[in-house]
Amino acid sequence: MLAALIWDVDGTFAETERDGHRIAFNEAFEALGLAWRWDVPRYAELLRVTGGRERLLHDMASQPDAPADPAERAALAAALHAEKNRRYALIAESGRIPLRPGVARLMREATAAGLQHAIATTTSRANLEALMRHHFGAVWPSLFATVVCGEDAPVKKPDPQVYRMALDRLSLDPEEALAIEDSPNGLAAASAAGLATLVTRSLNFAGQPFESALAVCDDLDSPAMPSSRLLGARSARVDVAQLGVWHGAWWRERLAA
Amino acid sequence: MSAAVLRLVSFDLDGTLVDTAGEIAEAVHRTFDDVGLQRRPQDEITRLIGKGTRELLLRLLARITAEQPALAATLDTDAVLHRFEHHYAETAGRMGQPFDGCVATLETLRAQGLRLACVTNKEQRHAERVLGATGLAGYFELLVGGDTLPFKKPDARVFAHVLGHFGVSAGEAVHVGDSAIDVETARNAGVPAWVLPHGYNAGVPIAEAGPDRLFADLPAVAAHVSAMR
Repeated sequence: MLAALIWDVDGTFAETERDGHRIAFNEAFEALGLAWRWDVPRYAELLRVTGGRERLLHDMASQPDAPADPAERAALAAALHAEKNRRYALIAESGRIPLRPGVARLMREATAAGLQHAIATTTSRANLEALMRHHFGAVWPSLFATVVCGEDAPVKKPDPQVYRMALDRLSLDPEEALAIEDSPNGLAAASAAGLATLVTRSLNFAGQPFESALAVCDDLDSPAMPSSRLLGARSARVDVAQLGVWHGAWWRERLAA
Repeated sequence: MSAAVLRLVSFDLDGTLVDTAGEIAEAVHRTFDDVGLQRRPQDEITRLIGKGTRELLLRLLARITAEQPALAATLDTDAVLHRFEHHYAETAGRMGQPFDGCVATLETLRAQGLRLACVTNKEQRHAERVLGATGLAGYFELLVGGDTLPFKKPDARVFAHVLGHFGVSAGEAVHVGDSAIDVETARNAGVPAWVLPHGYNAGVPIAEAGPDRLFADLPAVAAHVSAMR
């Protein structure tokens, strides 16, 4: 029985990478006197590395003017990351990062149907606060039964730690929840935690197959294609009732297998 | 069955939702023209509807070779099936019309929160085409064709899969069809068998199949369900 939706944030709740983090990284580079700039295609490549600091270090390996000393590199990455987060917060708080289509609607429907909401994100609490405060106000934590951020679960996706923690705090088994993700790493993390996962394709992962997903859609207001494992199931718009049917079918099939 | 528990309505396709006899026959005619066989009467073809188009063709070819044994040596069954794929891709959903009130019926049922499934022995790819071309596709969350599962109507496992998908019990569902196959499917699943008279039952009046309810048309089905609630 579906009792909770566990939401990823970056790319799922909002296109935070395209509209927020990428802009913030570039503003941070400029602020620290660096000529580096990440355009949309380059950022799409770098998104394969989970975590801001890790991403910076990965990019530095190909930047000829990056510090040679590993300790200096690490320090620069830390400084850039801190500056990036400050700027991201301003961008998010000023409303420049809208919620993705259907997110608010599905949240309302799910709440009305008695489901709980949780967040399982790799991003920092500060980043999450900035986005949520703008869209839901200071009371935003009351909308979520639990919120697991980067600080709570330091091991990044595709490791399932953040999802296992969310389930633990919710006191739910995997078959009682549904994860909503946008990236291959996110799908892998949720799946490894035993969760059926709905994928909403984000800009940077649009071409991925997401074969192990429960269903895949371009966004929550567009038709979703259910897994071919659900024999005969057809494309449908995502609403809480439809998710309930697919989720139920997914787990009944598991038990029967 | 009380009104409060109906949650799922399953519909057969050919002869129930859409009048497909003409387009199936046309595809068979064009196929036979291609391979040099004489066209068969439409009535004969219509009587063979119900077990999928592959089965329909195989039975026709069996009859032809029984009538003309000499053809058995030259008849290339695979070539006939292959040509039929091509022609049926062109006619499926293009000539057949949904029966009167079909869309309004599906709208009414959906509006009442019922979940709808299409359960047919037509091959899934052909059924998708028919539903798509006639504008009915969006109403059905589940389409079980004759080749979607390893078994087809009236095997009890077909409806077990349907009930399992939606998580409803037999007491919460009903199957609507036009043939004895549909009645047997419903019986095997333990759901009420509702039928319509405007379809294809191998030339036999559908009342003889002993359905639970016989409706005059699709709107009558919708009216009955509405009255139940």
